[in-house]
Amino acid sequence: MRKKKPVSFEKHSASSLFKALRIVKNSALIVLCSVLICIIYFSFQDSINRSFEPKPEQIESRMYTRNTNTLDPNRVENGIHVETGMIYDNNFELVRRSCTSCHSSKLVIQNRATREGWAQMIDWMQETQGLQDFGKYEVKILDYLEKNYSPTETGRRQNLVIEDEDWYHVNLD
Amino acid sequence: MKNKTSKQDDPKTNRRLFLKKSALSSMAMILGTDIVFGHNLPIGMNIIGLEEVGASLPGKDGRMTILNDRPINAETPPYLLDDKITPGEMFFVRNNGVPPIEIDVNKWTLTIGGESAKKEIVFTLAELKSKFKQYTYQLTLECGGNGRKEFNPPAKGNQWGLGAVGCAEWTGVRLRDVLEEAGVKSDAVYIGYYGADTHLSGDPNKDPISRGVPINKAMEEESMIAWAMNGEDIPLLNGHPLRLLFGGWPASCSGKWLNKIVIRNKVHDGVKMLGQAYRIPCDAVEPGTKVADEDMCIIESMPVKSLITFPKTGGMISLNEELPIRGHAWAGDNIVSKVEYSIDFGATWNSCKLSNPVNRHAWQHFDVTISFPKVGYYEVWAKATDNNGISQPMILPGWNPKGYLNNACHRIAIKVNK
Repeated sequence: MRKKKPVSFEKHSASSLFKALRIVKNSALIVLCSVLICIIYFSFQDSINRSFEPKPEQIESRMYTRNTNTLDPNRVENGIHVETGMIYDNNFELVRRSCTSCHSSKLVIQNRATREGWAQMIDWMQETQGLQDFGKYEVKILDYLEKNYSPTETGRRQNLVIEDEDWYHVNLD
Repeated sequence: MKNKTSKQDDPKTNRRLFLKKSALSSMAMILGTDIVFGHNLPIGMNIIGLEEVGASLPGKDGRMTILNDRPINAETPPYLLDDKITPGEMFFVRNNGVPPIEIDVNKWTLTIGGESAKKEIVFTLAELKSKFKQYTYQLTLECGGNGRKEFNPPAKGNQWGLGAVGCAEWTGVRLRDVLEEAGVKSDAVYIGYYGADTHLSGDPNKDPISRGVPINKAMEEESMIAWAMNGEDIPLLNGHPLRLLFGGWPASCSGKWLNKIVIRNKVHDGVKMLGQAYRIPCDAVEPGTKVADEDMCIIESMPVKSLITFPKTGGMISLNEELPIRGHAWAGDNIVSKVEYSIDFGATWNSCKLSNPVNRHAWQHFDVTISFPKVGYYEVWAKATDNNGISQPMILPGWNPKGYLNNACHRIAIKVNK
């Protein structure tokens, strides 16, 4: 057994008190800061998350030309992420990472489904195609898909849509 | 591999070349093989990366619409299907997995087996070509999901428009002759195929697709095992070096990169034969209905359909001009008996001239010259009728959960100016 050092009770208790107070003060500060950070984070979660995503270059609307291959494919034009063709919106990067590591983004953007329908597609891919469980991220993925790729009422047949520049004179020779 | 990871010293001057190279190598990754035609690609029709507009698939025309690049799925705009026999570079692509790597035609074999084969037998390509009588047929292949894009509520999957169809001239041997060489037991009810393509996940134990047809369809004269399309090797994306062909049935029955056929004593239970794949409700349902697997029936013959391949939609003519139109019509196991057109949204119909099929399952050709009564916007609609008197509907036919068999009339937009 170690022999106890004889110390003055008053001196010891005074310094202990100061030390304890300092610890309490520091801890309180840390807790307060953490809470503040949490509050700030949860209030501005989406914008903070987005600030960590790559800043795509915004470019004016323009006609497609073959020369676009000299531009950054990661840019956004008219709200569309050019490389994938997907709508650039909250949770875009998450959805892009989750979907296009296995298949083309074209498979996402040509489909339309309700939130339930998209959830069923994810289930199907998990059951049969070896897709991972997204855990808590599935909600955000579904938020994105539901908001941007929900069905529109098209009826039994849609109008034939010919853009102005696509009308042409039929060559009758 | 993406374009931005350039290691070139001078990215500006080398960029075009690099983009082409990297696009080709990402293409190679998708295909799992080097691109045979890659070096032939002229700089002008660069494939930039398949996500870009104007991208092109190996052996395919750059104007095809690529719906998906993993797996590769591409359709042909109707105006590019104007040829009577669809050229290889215009033939649509519906892949379920990754095409095979390094095809050695000298080592390629086809095995015939299954519980209803009297013996298992293996043929090399050379043996197939020398042992059996060769036949050439024009056969129409159409994806079961052609036209899915119009379904409402939408059906998931590739959103095919109009052009997942083609009719090429195929050369090979009769499936019947080859099956009989192995011996078909009296209890045979179905055949199933296996191909050398691999599952997208890379899992070697999973088949991307393994479908088939009832034995009576397999034994028909025009059911064949082919190695040539239009007198040349079948394009890689369409099944080189060997594929099955069942004209008039969903093209998924016609297995590509064929290396095994099984004769079954029950309905083949390979991948995409079960569940809801290539099935429609046995009894018609209200749009949007969830249908249980056991109430879904396998699609067999495809319905009557037609396509206007000239002119391209969006054409303008003058009131003093007449407009020639032409196209093709087909009817699954049946024959098309008439094709009509309407320029007044189906209120009145007039006949087109229609050719007979070259052989069973070949598409037929129609043409007519139209004069318009006054200036304005028109839609030219085409409607085929088969030999049972069944016509194409003018609106989306029976809704089904997976979006198959849309054979609604093809419509093109025409403006008649002063």
